[in-house]
Amino acid sequence: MNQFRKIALSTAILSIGWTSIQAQQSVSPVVSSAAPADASVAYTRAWTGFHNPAALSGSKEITAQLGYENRFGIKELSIGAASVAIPTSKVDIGVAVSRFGYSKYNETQAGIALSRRFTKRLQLAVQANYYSIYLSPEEGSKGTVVAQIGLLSELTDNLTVGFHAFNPAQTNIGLGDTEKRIPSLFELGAQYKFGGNLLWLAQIDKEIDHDLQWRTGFEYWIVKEFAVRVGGYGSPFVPNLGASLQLNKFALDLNFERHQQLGINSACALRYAF
Amino acid sequence: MKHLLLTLLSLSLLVSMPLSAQEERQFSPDLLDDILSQIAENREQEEIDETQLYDDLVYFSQNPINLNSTNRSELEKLQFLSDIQVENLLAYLHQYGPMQSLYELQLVDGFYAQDIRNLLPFVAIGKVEQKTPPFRLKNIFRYGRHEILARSDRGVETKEGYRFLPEEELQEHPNSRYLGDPFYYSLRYRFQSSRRVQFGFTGEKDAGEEAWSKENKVFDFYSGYIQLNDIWKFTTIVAGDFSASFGQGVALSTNFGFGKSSMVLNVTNRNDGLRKYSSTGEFNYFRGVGATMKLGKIDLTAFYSNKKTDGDTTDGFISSFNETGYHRTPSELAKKNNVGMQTIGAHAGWASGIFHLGATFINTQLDTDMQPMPRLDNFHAFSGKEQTVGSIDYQLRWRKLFFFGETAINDQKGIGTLNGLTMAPHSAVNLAIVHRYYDPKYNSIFANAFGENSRVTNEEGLYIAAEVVPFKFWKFTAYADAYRFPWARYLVEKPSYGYDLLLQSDYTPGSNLSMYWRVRFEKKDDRIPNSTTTTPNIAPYDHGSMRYRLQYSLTDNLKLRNILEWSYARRGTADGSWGRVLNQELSYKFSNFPLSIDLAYEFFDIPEYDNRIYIYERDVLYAFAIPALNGKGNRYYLNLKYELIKNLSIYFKLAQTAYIDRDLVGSNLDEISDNRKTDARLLLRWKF
Repeated sequence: MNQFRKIALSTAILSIGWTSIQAQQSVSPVVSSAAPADASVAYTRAWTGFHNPAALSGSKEITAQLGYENRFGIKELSIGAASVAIPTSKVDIGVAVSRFGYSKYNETQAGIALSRRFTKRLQLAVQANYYSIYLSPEEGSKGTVVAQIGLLSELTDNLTVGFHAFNPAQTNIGLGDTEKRIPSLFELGAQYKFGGNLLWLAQIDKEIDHDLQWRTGFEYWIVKEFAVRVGGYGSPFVPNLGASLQLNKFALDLNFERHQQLGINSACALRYAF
Repeated sequence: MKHLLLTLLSLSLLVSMPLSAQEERQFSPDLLDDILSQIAENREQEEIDETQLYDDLVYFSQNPINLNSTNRSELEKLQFLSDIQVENLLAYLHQYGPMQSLYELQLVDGFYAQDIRNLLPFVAIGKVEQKTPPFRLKNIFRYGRHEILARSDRGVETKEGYRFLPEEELQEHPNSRYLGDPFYYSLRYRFQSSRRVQFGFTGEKDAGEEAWSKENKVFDFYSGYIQLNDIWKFTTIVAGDFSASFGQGVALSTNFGFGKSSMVLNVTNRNDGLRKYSSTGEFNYFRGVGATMKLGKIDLTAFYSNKKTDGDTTDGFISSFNETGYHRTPSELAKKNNVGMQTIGAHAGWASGIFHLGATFINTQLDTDMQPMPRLDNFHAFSGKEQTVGSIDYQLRWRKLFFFGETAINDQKGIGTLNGLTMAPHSAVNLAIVHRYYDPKYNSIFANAFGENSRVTNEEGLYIAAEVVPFKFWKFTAYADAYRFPWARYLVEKPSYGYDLLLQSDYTPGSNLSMYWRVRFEKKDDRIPNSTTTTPNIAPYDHGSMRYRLQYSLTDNLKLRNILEWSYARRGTADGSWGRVLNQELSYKFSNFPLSIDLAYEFFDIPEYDNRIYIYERDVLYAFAIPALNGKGNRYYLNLKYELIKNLSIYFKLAQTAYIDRDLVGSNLDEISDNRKTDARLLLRWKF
């Protein structure tokens, strides 16, 4: 890369840092991924339900996962999720469900994802989810179908670029005079491998009604069985720490976020590869 | 393999290093710029007294560290090196054996062009020395070096405090005039015989203080020290004025601390133990005796201090310590040495391979009751006559991870804890994480630990930093720190929040060219002036800056520097304001004549005080000038160093700020009825 391009690149990186200062956090009833700072769009280690479905083609084994996120210690704001990834020779299939809320109000998603590795370096995927909300015994549940599309491209052996759109058609759930808005999220980012045990992830998110947001983090496998993660996102800045344990076919991921005023947000996932 | 690499490196001209051995090698003022200007910005001080940092740098520039027989504690005195760099350097020496050339530094992980250039003046390659030579009294003076530094400063324009006042008016308003003359002067004498024997004396009079009166005799502040190292089982013995620092400084550190800066991985407190105090700062030191003894894996330290210090007194008690050291008016003079302070402290450390454990105890007694002003932010502040603090600290090195921390408790049962981790997962990536929680009830008079606040109390925060070298010549550093103050703090009468981000990109293609871009942004709750209501209005205060710095050498003797900086500030919902500074600096060193010159010009247009910009300036030895520019105008200075004869040097600086937006400069007794402010500074150094 010539010097001019490097100068341009560094200026661009700094400009992103400056312009994304006012970004805000977007909200969706999806358990945080195992990726550091939830910068999951180009994270290829595991597919975790409602993130980039193209990550499905990263696994060669049938994998089942249970996930749980406790938001700020409040049970009613928790999310539970389960997913299964089934690789086949033609297309990789994923099935996932998640539920946010409690008995008086909850939001549920159930989806099926199809992903295919088209070339050695390109994976494309689509996912269809049924997104429903439960309002009260009188009104019952209302729902709609929401689409997801995803792309992962290995530009080099070390650099992967990812793109993901959740609800690109901006489908909402009609509630008579009003409607329940479903987030419409676009993510673009990259994963860079430093050697065999360090990943750097960085991405920008745009929820249609929110400002641009950045996320970045590192995942460091100190030994084959244990990794630590460190990263953060947004404005106000939310630092993020995590760890993973990989024992034979079991994997356990833990992530913690420190919100300025709300406190600690914690997420865990248990995965089994058959 | 190592020899092949060495040959390749020697052939490469990537970093051409000036390796000629000189008696005193000049370390780059840019290093001080990097460290000090950000410290000044964080502390919001124009004058910072970092004599100890400077002392170490000057000492090692005169007595370079032999990398082939060094150790961790010696390398840690080079405070600009991160723990990861120290560890990598020691690991390299352990793995590959003695270095054959300083070019090998390029092979050590975590050392990039700029780091190596910073390090070169302080290190050398020599034979491996197994033992330190035995201590002999007769050698002390034979191999010792004396140094005398005499300095004087004066403002050229007359300030309000030096104007003549009629006797009647002076009697009516005794504090409306400074008691003394407008000269600042100081005298320092130091003696050093290797690292083993050091003693010295410091005397200082600030501008406006009396030179001769009932209270003052020549100087307003006197200080002296003796420090002996490696005598019998004692690693350190100090008498007179000294400083102390243990663990992470949560309980006790009167030493220099980096805090948050673009050296993002420098997050640990360097465990200095006891050491001489030779600064002119008049508060943060001990006066008495102390010693550290090493018994196998255990080191034991004890010290006792008894001194007088300044306090703001009301009705027989003190409401706060007065740390300025100024005694220029009758009211300031009345605060001088009016509080007796007695301190005992102890530390025990145990080190075994990768693990280090320590315990610190400190007890301070005052002869006057401390009763802070009855404000909400002082609710948990130290009061009474006695304070006791105890702490446990640890360090653990495992693989490429370094864990460190300290947890302290005071007699109010307040807890202060700091825990961190630095990692070197890849040769191109280094990471640091620091979490601190300082209970509002926790405070320690002599604490100095990592955080947003200068006081170690009422703060919780998580700091994350990374340094990445994605391709040759380029280095990216970043940190992000999210913090909260769980109790009210000064002027902010409620719990508050904030975060701080920094991103810097360095480009260093060779020894004659380097540049960086730096973006910094901070948002935190602060008081917003509101003229319509007496209720304090607390709202987010945004403060950001963007800086580009370029340095290049046209010849070996001529160096140039440019800084372009923009700063942004916004309080609450008010409109944001922008300030800007343009700086050009030129340094020239004559080849055949012992003279070096620095010339600089700055233009600044900074509409609000919130936009103030700190620019590091070249200065005379042991003086640091980092003026906070605000308003609109120009600033320029001339800085000279001339070696009159061998070992006798004269330093001179003349600086002027000319404003175009005001006719009065300064305020109160420092007010100047002019649009200019001019300062002159003269220093003589004699070494024998």
